Amino acid sequence: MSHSHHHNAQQDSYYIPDAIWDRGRNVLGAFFLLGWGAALAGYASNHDQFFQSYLVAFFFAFSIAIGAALFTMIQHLTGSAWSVPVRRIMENIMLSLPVLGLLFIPIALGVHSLYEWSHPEFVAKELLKLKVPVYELYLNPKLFYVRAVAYFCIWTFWAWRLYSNSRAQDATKALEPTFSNERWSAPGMLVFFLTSSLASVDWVMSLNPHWYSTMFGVYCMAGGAWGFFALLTFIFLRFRANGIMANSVTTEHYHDLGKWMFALTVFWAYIAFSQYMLIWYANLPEETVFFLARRTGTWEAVSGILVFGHFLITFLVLLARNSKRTLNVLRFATIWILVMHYVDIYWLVMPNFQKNGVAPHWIDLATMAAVLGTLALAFWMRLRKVVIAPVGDPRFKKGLEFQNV
Amino acid sequence: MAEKPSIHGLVADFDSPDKLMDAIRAARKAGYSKMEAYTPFPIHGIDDAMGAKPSILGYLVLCGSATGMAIAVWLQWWTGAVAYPLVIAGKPFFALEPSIPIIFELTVLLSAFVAVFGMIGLNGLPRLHHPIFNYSGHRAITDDRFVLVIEASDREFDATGTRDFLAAHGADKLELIEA
Repeated sequence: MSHSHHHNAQQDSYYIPDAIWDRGRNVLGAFFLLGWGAALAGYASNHDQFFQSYLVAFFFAFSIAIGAALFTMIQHLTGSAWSVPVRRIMENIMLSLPVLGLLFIPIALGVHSLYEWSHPEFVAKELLKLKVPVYELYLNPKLFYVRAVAYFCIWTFWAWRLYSNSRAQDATKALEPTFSNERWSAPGMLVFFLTSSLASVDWVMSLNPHWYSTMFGVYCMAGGAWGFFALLTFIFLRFRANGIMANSVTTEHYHDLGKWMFALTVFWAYIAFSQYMLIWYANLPEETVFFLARRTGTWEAVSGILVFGHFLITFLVLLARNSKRTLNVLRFATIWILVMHYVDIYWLVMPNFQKNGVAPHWIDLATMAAVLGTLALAFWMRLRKVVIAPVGDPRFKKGLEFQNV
Repeated sequence: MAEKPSIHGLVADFDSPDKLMDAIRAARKAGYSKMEAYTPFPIHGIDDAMGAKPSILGYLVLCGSATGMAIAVWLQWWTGAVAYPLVIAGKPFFALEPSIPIIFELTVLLSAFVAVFGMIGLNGLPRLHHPIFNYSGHRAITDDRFVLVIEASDREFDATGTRDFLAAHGADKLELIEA
């Protein structure tokens, strides 16, 4: 239709200009080096604090990467057109998974600083109380490493399949890779959901081996997918400010990204509340221990930040149609969501160590800088001199022209 | 003595959505404001082109959800803690935690009622007849025709002037319809 504003989409080159790429590499490279410098200084000054802070940073990034993988597959399964212009960046966030495999090494090295169940004395004491040999069959360092390697092999394989299929279309515009991605996505959803659920049990839930919740995995992934959409939107707003794909990703696409952030705000709250209410209602000591720790002392304030900041404020900010179409509001929302997602992961991990109340530490920031610096630099390196949108996808044109009714 | 039927407006019938959109934009530019379009499928951007104001339905739904929320809190507090205070499983007579699912449900229920019935009401439904049915070609609107009606109550309306104007903008069939 002649009146549409997206006709200028042809002006976009779908490459990051060299000057901008170089500048980005310098900034992210400095971030990476300073981050690791600070993190190593943190490790030297306080081993336990380093591993704990590192776990928060690692899991924060991990949950977002899994969110990217799940939603890349959902786009293939639903045959979405609106998301095609932003899908290559989704795929690139998903490709953080192999890098996270390398970033897992410090966790593997810090098992004894992090997990009670890795200590033979603890297990010996526990065995007397248990009918099922949990620690022999599941929670022991050897199996913990085996599972981690298996998770990362599976995720890397799948992410590589989805990405290379998508890339294969860029020049040829062939249809077959689209069908192939649909076929890989259906079992992929199942596999990613199960493995990421198990991984969140291994890496975070087992910090307190006495506590369990069958909703823990979906809780982590709901927050991760939420953070993923915030990151994706943030990246495109940065692109826009630098004139990259600024005519291709329009208010219509931002509106849909905003809808996803809003929907996942509610989904996270739904899962978080369900978990809380079921435990509250049953009132069993082995279950309430989790919330007891998080309603004691200053941790209660952090729980309040999650109720009001993670849910209520985000809900109200993103509720109106206009706020999802106002880029300044969305920019605020993306940063807010990423900060709140960090608070959420911090709240999951740290009460296991900080029993006397919240104790923020500079190493928290240092490990965040190291993990995010590594992933951001790797992300940026992957975008050098390559097409940053799936221009060969059969739905690409339709995606550019997408409009909300 | 039968009254002379008054005129509802002038129908302009087009064979493509693009022509209809162009005519709408031209009519707006020429100062017409009371118009209605009829098409076989939704057309992106037609609301903006016609200068339709955003619906107030969203705000009505917000009121509905707030009402649902208030009723749910009151209902559970009054039944649990005032009218029938029974101790069940050592739980408090009223607590927010177990009340939230019902608060949520009633919020959604009243929002949905207001959304559906509000939409019907704001669309002027139910009604038994509409002047567009007086147009001889109205059946084709659900098939492949795109119709613009400029209402007779428009300040700029003038039976011959408006007809010439719309004919110049690609209408291949023009007809005055009775109210």
